[in-house]
Amino acid sequence: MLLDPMVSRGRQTLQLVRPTAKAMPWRPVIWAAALAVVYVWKEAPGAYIDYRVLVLRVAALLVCMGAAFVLDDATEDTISHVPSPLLLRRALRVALLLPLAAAIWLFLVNLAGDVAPRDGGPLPIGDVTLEAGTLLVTALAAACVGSRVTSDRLGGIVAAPILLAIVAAALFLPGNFKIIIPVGDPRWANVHNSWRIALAVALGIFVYVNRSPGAYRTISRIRAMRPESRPI
Amino acid sequence: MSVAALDRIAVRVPGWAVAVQLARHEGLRMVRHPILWVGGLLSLALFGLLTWQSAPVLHRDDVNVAGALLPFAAATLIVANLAASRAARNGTDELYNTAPASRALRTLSQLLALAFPVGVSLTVAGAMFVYMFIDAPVGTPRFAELAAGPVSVALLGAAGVTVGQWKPHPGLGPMAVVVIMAFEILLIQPVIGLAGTNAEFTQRIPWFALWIPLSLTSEVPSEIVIRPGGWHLLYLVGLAVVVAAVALARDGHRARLVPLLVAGAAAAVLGSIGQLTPASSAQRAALASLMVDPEHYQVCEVRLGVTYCAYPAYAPWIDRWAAPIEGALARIPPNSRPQRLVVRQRFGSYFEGPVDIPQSTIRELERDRRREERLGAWPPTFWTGTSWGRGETEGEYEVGLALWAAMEAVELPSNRRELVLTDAETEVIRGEMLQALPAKQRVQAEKGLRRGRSYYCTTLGQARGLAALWIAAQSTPETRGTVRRVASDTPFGVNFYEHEGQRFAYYEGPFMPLYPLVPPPMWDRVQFVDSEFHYAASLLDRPADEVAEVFAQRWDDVLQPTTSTAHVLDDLGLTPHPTIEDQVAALPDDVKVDRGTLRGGTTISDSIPCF
Repeated sequence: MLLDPMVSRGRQTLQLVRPTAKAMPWRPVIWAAALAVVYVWKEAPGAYIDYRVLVLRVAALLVCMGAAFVLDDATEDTISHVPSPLLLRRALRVALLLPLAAAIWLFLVNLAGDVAPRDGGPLPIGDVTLEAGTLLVTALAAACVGSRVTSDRLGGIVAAPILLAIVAAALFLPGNFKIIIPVGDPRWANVHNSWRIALAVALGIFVYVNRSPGAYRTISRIRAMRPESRPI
Repeated sequence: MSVAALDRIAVRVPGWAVAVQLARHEGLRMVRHPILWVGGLLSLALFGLLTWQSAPVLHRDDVNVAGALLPFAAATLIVANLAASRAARNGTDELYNTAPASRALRTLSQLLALAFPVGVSLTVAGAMFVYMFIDAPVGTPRFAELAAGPVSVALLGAAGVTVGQWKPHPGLGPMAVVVIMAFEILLIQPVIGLAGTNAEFTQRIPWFALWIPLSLTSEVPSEIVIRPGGWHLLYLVGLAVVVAAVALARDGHRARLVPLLVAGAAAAVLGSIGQLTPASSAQRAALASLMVDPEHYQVCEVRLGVTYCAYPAYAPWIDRWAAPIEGALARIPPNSRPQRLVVRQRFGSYFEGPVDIPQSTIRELERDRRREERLGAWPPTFWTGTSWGRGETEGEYEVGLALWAAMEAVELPSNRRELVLTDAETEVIRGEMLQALPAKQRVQAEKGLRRGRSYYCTTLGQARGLAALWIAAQSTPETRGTVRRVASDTPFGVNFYEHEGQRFAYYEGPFMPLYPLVPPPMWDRVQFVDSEFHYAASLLDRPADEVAEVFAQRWDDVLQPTTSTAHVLDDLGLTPHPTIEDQVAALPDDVKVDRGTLRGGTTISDSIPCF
């Protein structure tokens, strides 16, 4: 009994995979990835470790800005009454994006190459991937926020400037709050804890802004439980 | 006039009028866009970040004004791109085609509308100037350097329109920003890569970027770099015209755009040639002369027996230099005040960025500096630079000047030659002073004594070290604030750090790293210690007249290297600091102690007691 809704939701999701993949605007992320590949290919190989990390960060920013457009869905208002909730539909889009994003990132990292230990290597790939992942989730969350204020729910247009502004603002953070630091900085481990927190916050925002209208009105439900609210 | 000619006028005049009207509306939309506001705020924040620790120098900060406008220029690109791609994105191209303005006119209006963001950028630049004028700036800004900022706004705005016209996608504006910024970073790399070299052809490659910093480390005085600012401005204007022509070319009329394109390209090429041309040997020789013979160019002023010499643009800074020195001299007994002190400005001899001074001149200046460090200068000279602090950091610069005057008064060594000891001095140090040093430092000092000289000396335990530090600390309100802040940031003795939930005790040793409070020649020579520094900070809580009276009464005694700090503590009303061993014994049980670091902390090579 309990499993029935989950099974039906699973079936529903599977049925949505093909049409969603067809409807998603893939071109921005592909073009952004192409640009990022050219940039990394021209700049990263042979560069010193800090510059290589900078190039990877810029490439990640480009890909994330393109990726934010995959959530653009001009039919969102039209299909808002369908049984599959907004969170599911957008999560499915993100799930479809992830393999491509992962493949692009792997390719970019591979293209950048590693740095020999005598030159300060190896590249802290795990931590740079964490930064890229946080940027991606931030871009997607920004797109979702943007979809609430733009015409036709096309939030991608807002996400890219928001992402740029966040990155630019991060560059100005004072010493103790810096989150973009060079490799080898003694604060590296602590700063990447901050990145983990930022990732969690961005994920939280993503989930929060994707609530279907009226579906998760926690405060209203709590109010409804008060005795005076109950019918006599 | 023929009917055809009248027709042409009838078509053209309303066309322009429509374009101007559209530009007015589009421009107002642009300046009301939140992205542009965020860009403006980021520009102001960037300018604050670049300049908040430096007293304003207009012929240096004009470069920073142009650089700080880059976030605003990037925001303009995105906003202009959104405006240019709006019709295509909304599918209203055909609807607009029914309006009296053609597509080309609409593009033209979007380009004309950029006058609004450019106007706002002038306002933002104005706000930056207000910030500088609050703190009595020196120098004169250069028009070409300043104008590069608003022209960059126009250029990136035109780029936004072009991208929006040719490829109307909302993602392309931000991506263009990232690509342009990546190129900017790439192009200014040689500013680091060729650090310390003379101006060469390759050194001019960064001038293809939108903005070129003086150096990425701000260590290069703008006076000794010949910046082709005018040529760069021409290059930017040319590029902006070319980019605008490309935007207009999307809608036909390409033949009519050829003169515009050619003019823009010619300006860009001419500007490129101009900015790639290295400075002439006559220009470099003039700069070299400015550095080698500063006395021929500087204006000098004598105040209370101290001579201050500054390059004319910096003459107002003499007030800033005089304040801490006069504050220090006022607390030194009149008979002991150092005579014939000179404070002279210079541009330095080591630069972390390309400069337009012949390499031979730099080598010569470096030799002079080393000679002077070894033998000292007569009369005693303090060399100031082209930087001065602002706000909280002003006190750091003032401590440096005041401490120099105080060190001269208490007869601490002023050059390396004075660190060479006579046999009698060595005996006194061995007999009376060495035992006061911590064990680790004593071993190091004995090495120096065996040689009879050292590169450094320490005031550890000497009353005159305390006197010099207090005289410097109390000289101005800013120095008082700085010394109190440093003392509270680095508490005396044993400190703590936490790692994985466990508290550890550590001790960094007796030496007080006064860098960056004090300029290099001083921390290179005399090593002050933390106990005297904290005593001096504590004395700031007492009336300065009372403390000065105590020092004045025992001045001859204080000047003796063998007079220990402990001898004057009672008179000054200070309680002796607990020893490191006592502090360790009093530590709570949950604190782990690293015995190795507590034994004596770090030592400064073979520094011997100052004599």
